[in-house]
Amino acid sequence: MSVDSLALLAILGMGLATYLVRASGFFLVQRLPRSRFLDAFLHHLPGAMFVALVTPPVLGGGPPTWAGALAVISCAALRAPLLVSLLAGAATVALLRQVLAGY
Amino acid sequence: MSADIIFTFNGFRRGFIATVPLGMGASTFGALFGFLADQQGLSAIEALLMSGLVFAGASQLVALELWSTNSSILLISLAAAFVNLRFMMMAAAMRPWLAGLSPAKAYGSLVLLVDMSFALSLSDMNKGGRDAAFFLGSSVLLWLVWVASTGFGFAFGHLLSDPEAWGLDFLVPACFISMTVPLYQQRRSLVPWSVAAGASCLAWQTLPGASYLLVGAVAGALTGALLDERR
Repeated sequence: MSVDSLALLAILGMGLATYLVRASGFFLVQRLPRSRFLDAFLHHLPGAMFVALVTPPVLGGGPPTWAGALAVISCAALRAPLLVSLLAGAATVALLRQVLAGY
Repeated sequence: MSADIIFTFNGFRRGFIATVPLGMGASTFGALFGFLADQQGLSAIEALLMSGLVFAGASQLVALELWSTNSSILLISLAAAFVNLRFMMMAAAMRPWLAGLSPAKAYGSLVLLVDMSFALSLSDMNKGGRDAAFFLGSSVLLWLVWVASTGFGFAFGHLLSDPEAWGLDFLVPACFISMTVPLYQQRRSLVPWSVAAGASCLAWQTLPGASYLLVGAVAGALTGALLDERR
């Protein structure tokens, strides 16, 4: 149980850098002039961000994650509780990984 | 618009409780980080400090990669900022709630901003929620889970040797998929989302690290804003 002083500095540096990123988004958006374009951009940002976040790894994961994603989308579209969607997705992925060796 | 935003203990508690199911996904990731930190030679205190003070999984994994290469502190910090650039966009999208708070509460809430608390808060906001403490409650639950599971993974990582066989690695993407679906608005979302998917896949193939996320998000949101202008 020890803390190396360089490691501590690196951790503090990471924490500070990450907080500045967190704070700056709100800081900047409050100071930019409001416009319809900026509002529309911010409206589309979360959906586009989530799609961009999950699409490459899900496509790259092969048939098990493709089917898992379909299971989650179906559950969410049917307004199933979040926990049900998550378990359905994980179970689908686990099952297909058993059936299709190699993924 | 922002004058009717409130910040109550009840909202905090609602956010805290609503996030419990997502805590499962976060805990597998946190345990994975703790396990890998042990492998990379960090002490338990260092791993816990990093989870507590940085609280951003992807950048912590990147730091572990750089740890073993004798990288400078500046490089490790810059890498963390870059991997976490998405937080900037999330904080911007939280404006409807944050702008209604005092600067201390707004910037204080942002200390613990993470993907999952952002996504849950956004959907509460879209359902008409006005209590901005929901966001802080959600973040605090995730922070507690994150730090605790880091310690768990550090201590018992060897027991989690095959989380993939159980599909546990899919819990994190599954969280995001299930929170994306309700955001879909047929005519307005189809093209921007397709652009986001295509651009992120292209960047995933060609650019290093997590930049695919930023490329896809900006491409998709720009497309959406341009299409809205012409409508």
